[in-house]
Amino acid sequence: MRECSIEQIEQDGFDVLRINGSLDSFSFPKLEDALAKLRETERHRVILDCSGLNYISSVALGALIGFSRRARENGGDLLLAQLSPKVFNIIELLGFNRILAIHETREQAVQAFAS
Amino acid sequence: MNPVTYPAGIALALGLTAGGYWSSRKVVGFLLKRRRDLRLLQRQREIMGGFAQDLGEALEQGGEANADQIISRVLACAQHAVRGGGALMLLCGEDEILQARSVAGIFPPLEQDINEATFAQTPGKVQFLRDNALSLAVPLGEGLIGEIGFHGQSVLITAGEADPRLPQYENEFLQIRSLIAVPMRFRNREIGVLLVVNPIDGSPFRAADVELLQLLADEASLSIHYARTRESIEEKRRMDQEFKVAERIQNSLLPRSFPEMDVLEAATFSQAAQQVGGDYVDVIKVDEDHLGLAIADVSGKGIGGAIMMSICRTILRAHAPGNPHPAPVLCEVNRMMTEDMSEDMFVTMIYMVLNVRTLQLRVSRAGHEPVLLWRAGEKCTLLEPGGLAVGMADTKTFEGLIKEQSVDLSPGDLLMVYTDGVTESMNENGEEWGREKFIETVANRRLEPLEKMMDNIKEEILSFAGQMAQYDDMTVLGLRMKSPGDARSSTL
Repeated sequence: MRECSIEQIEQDGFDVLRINGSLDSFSFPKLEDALAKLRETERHRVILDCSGLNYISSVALGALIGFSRRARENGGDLLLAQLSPKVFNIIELLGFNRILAIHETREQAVQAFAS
Repeated sequence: MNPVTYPAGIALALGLTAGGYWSSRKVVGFLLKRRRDLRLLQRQREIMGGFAQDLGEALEQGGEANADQIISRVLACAQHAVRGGGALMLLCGEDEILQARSVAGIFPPLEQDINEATFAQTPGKVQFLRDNALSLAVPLGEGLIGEIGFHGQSVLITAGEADPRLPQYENEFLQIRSLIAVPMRFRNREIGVLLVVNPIDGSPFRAADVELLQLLADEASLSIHYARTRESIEEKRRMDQEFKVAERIQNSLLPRSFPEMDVLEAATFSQAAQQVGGDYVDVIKVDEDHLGLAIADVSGKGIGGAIMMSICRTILRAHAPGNPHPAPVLCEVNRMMTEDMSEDMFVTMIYMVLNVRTLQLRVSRAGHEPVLLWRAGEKCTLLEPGGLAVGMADTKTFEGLIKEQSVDLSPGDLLMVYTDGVTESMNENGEEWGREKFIETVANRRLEPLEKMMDNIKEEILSFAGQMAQYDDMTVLGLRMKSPGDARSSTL
């Protein structure tokens, strides 16, 4: 069972969720709650700062894609920023780098939203 | 004259003559207490008698009463016995958490978490309190209830408003004025806690009430323990039944043996993380010249995942025949599965088609680990054509991303396809076995007979993992191209 903590911050008017630890079916509900709250208040443009994320399971990844899809349906998106090489490799192996919006840094993600 | 007071009269006379008003008082005091004790004993007998009758009825109905029925009768009895306004029973689960099981009457909250203003507006206050009481879950040892459950000491609170262990509220409905809590024990083990609150006559509970309740709890514990044991046996039987079904599904996902093939030999091993595995391996005849080889891994675990994989297998087997190219087949699988699959589930897959005459192999990879290839005398190379896992994207996106890679194989070439449970296999130090280790292990055993090699690889993974429980299923499919000397008459 793996742990994770979510920190909610704002950067340049955009919602950033900083994730620390590992995401799997046990720890994912925390992220789910945070994302659901944002969705309820119509904030569909969210940046996930993954600099502290050291592992993500298939189940959590599938759920994340679900979130990004819903965000896009509502005119927003879920951007992943600062993925570690390990986590990026997992996502690339699955081909999900082609359906998730991935950015090198938080700033680039903010710019992507701003433009 | 009342038989109890008759001797009192004599004693009084004796006492007065013996000398001392004070001694007579003691004697009268003693006799009056005896009368109270007697009344209490009578009452206890009535209660226990009533309870025993009640329980007997409950047990008669439907052959065996379930735990719920016994529990509600016990609770009703408990409430009635000490004339409480409300009663609550918590039972301890295997996880050592005391879970509220049944509530009777009006049971105020035991925690300071109710918003009084909101409560005042609530129309169904009694139902609200019931729901609130039933949601209580306390780890053994924590708080007032947890401690009772842990230490086995009963508790009597006569002035709830002054007790720091209880929450304080303004609203009368929410107040606990007096409380008794007794542990429920079975053979010196705590199995739960029984609570009664707020005597209906407004006066606080007394020590005698605690004794009575404990007596009742002790009697009830036995019946409840046995009822719960019966329940868990039933539950286990039901689960075993479900798993038998799941086993049948799983058995169809992995081949028991491979058909005798002219140009290649195949061997596989698989180990499920839970009781039902979701990994899939298959060898499919495409046509007279082509053989399809597949390995797949579903993202959801347990029975749900296995069922999804089963559907995937059906679709693959339906579309494989007649298609010498793997990529279009995977597109079909994706198209059909995206409709059926739960939004968050996906399947990673390798599907390869081997031309048995030319030994050309076409590989397509839907988000799966790459194919490992050892050509004779060379180091391992990876076959990693681009692609996307199945079930995550629409047809157009999937078709745009899925690629096909062709290699020309020769006799003696060795291929390994596997699911990521193998390389992500973890030991007690949190280290992963890893792809490099896997490649090294295979390379070291390059020349062993295939079956033996697979057994040895399995051994190595299991000894690496040690006692550590694995989160993911692991499966390896080994393929070796036969040398001309190995070929037998055509059975393809």
